[in-house]
Amino acid sequence: MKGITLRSLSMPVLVRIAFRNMIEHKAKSAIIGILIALGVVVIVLGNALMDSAAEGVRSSFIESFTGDLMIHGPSDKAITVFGVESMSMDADTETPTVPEYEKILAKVRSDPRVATATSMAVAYGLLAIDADETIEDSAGDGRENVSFAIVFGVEADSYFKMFPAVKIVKGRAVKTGESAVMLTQKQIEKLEKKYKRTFALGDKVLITGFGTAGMRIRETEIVGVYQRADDSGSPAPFIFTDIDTARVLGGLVLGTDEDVKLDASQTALLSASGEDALFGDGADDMVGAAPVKGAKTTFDSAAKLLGDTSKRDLLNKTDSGAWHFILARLKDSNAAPGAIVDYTRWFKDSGIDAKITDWKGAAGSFGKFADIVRVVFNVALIVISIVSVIIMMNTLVISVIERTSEIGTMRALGAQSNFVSSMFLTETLTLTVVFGFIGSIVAILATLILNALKIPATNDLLKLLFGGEVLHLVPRFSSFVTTIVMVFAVGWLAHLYPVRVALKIQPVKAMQTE
Amino acid sequence: MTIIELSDVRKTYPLGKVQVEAVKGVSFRIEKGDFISIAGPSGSGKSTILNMIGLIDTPTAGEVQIEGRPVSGLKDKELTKLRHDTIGFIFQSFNLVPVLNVYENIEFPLLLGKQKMSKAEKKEWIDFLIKEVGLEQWRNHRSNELSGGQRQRVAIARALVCKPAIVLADEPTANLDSATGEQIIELMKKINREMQTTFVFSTHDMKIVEIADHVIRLKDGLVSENYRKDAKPAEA
Repeated sequence: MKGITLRSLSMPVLVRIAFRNMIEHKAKSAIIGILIALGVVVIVLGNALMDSAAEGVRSSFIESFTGDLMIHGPSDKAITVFGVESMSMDADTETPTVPEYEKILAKVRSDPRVATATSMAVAYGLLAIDADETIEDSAGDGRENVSFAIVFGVEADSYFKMFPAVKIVKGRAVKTGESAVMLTQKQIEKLEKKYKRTFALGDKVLITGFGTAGMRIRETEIVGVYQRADDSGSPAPFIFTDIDTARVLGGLVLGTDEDVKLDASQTALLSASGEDALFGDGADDMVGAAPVKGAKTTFDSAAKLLGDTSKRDLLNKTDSGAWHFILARLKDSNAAPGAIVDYTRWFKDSGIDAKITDWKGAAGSFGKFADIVRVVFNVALIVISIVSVIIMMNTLVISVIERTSEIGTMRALGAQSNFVSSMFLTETLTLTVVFGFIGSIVAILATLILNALKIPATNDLLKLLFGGEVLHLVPRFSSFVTTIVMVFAVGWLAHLYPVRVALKIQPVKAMQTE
Repeated sequence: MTIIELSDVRKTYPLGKVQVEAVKGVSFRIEKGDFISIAGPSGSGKSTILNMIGLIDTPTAGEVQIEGRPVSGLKDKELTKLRHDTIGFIFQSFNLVPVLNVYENIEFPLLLGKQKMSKAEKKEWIDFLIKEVGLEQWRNHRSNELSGGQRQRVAIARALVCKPAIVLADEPTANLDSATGEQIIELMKKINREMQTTFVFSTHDMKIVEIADHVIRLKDGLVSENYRKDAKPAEA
C-alpha cells in the first residue's frame, strides 16, 4: 500500500460521504438539484430549438433564395442576394455585376461538386397599374397600400430547377425576351384590394424601378403565380421577372455609362440661363408654331417630332451579359467552405475581381436571425448560470456553516486542507452529475412529449423558430456534453467560496460543543 | 520517557476589547503510557491546555513538546500530519461523521494519511477495535442509531485506529450518565494498559479523576496540584 496517495485512497470515501450527504441534507440537495436539472432541461431544449431555427433558416435560404454558394461582383459593402445591405441609395449601394461572367459560370458548371447553378439580377420596384401613380401616391393611404417589390430577374429554367421549393401554382414561368412577371397570390390580392378590381394571368402591371440610375417604368404581363414551400402566409415582397426587365429596372443598361457628345449649339443651349433661351422668345411663338388642332398625328410624325432617339433607346437596351449573381447548389452542402476557399484562390490566380460567399453571407441580416436568437439565448443562459452559481454558493455556505463541527473534527483527526476542498468539490460535482443526469432524462422526455404534441407554428416568428410548420426538436448529443460541461463549471465555481469558508474552520472548532 | 512537555505555557484570548489570560504559565511533563487526568472547574484552562497539547491551538508564550519535538513554528500541514500520526482525539460531543456507520467512522482517520497497513490488516484491526469497545452488533449502524455511550465507544476506537502514541479526551464523560461515564473511563484505562497508549483526559467530575494514575489539577489557569496515585510526586 506504500506510495498510494491520500487523494486516491480518499476518493471512495469522499464519494460515499458526498452521496450520503446529498440524501441527508434533502433541502440543500433539492435546491441545488432542481437548479441544475432545470438548467440542463433549459439548455438542452433551448439548444434543440436554436438548432431547429438555425436549420430552418439555413434550409429555407438555401432551398429558396441563395443556394449553397453565391458569386458576386466586388464591393466594399455587404452584398446579399437581395442587393447591397445599406439604408442609403447612393452610388455605393448599386449592386455590382459579376465580372467575367461567362468564364466563372463555365467554371462553376464544370465543377463536380456543383449540382445546379443559375444566374440572377436583383432590382427594387413598386407595383402599379397607372404610369402617373407616384411613390407618394402609393404611400398616401398608408404603408399597407405600398406594393413594394424586390425584383428577381431570373433565368427561369435553371432557377426553378435549382430552387424546387419555389413552386409555380398557376400559369407559367417567365421567359427570357418577354416582359413578364410572376407574383404570389398574396401580392395579387393586395393589388386587388388597392385597385378594387380583379387581376388575372395576362393582365398588365407596371413596375417602377428605382435605384442609383433613377426611376424606370416597365410594363409587364402577369404570366404566373408562384408559392414558396415555406410560405408563411404573410405578404413577402419578392417577385420574379424575366432577366431583361430586372436589368432595366436595376439600371443594368448599356447607355448608363456612355458619354454623350454635344455639338456647339447644344452646349450653348444648355449654358443659357433663362427659360426663354431654352424654349423660345414667348409662349405665343410656340403655340403658333404648333398647329395642334385638327392635325393628324402619326407614329412617323411623332418620331420626327422627337428627333433622334438612339441615345434614349440605348438607355433602354439591356446589357445582356450583366448578372448580379451566380448561385450554385452543391451536391453536399458541407463542401461549401472548401469550395469558397478554392474559388477565392481561383479568382485571385485568374485576376478576376469577384467574390464568393456561403448561404449565410448571401442571406445577409436575414440569415443571421438564428445566430441573433442564439446569442440572446446564450446571454440569458449566462445570466441564469450566474444566478445559479450565487444560489448554489449561498446554499453550500449555509451547509458549511452547519457542518463546522464536522469539518473541525476532520481537521483535528488529520485531514489536510486539500481533503476538505476535495470533499466539497466531490459533493458539489456529485450533485451536478446526479441532477444533471436527471435533467437530461427530463429533457429527453420533454422533447418526446413536445414532439408528440406537434405544436403548430401560428406565426412567422414561431415558424422561423420551429424551423417549420410544427415544433420538432432533435437534441444533439453534443448539446448534452456541452450542458454537462457547463453544469460542471457552474458547480465548480459555486464550490469555490464555500470551500474558502470551510478552510477557515480551525480544528479547535471540533472541541466546541454543538 | 517524557512524551508531552509543557514549559511555561501561556495562552491569552481576546474577549472584546480585553485580553483574557486562560493559561498563565503552566509547566508539566507526561510520561509515555500515563493515564492522566487534567482536572479543574470550568474556566480553569483544561480545554485550552488540551487543545495546545493536541496541536489544534498554539500557545501565546512558552513551548509544547511532543515526543521531544518542539511544535512551535511548525506549519499547518506539518502540524496536521503530526496530529494524524501521533494523537487521537475523543470529543465531549463524540463528533462522529453523521453519514458514516460505525465501521466507516473508525476507518476514517486511516484514509487521511499514507497507509502502512494492507486492506486485510486494516479490516482485521478495525474489527479488533470494534470488538474491544463492544460494538460488534452495531458495526453497520450510523451514529444517530447509537446511544451516547455507544457513540463515545466509537470515538475511542476511532482515536486508536492510527495507533497513536497519545489519546486526548476532552471531557469524554460530560454528555454521558455517570454509570456510562465510568464504563467509558474504564474502557480507556483497559486500552491504556493493553496498548500502552498515553491517555490524557480532562474532567471536572471528581469520581472520574480518581480513576486516573496521574492527576494535574488546574485553578485559574495555573497548576494547583500535580500528583501520581502511586504517591510518587510528579515532575513539574
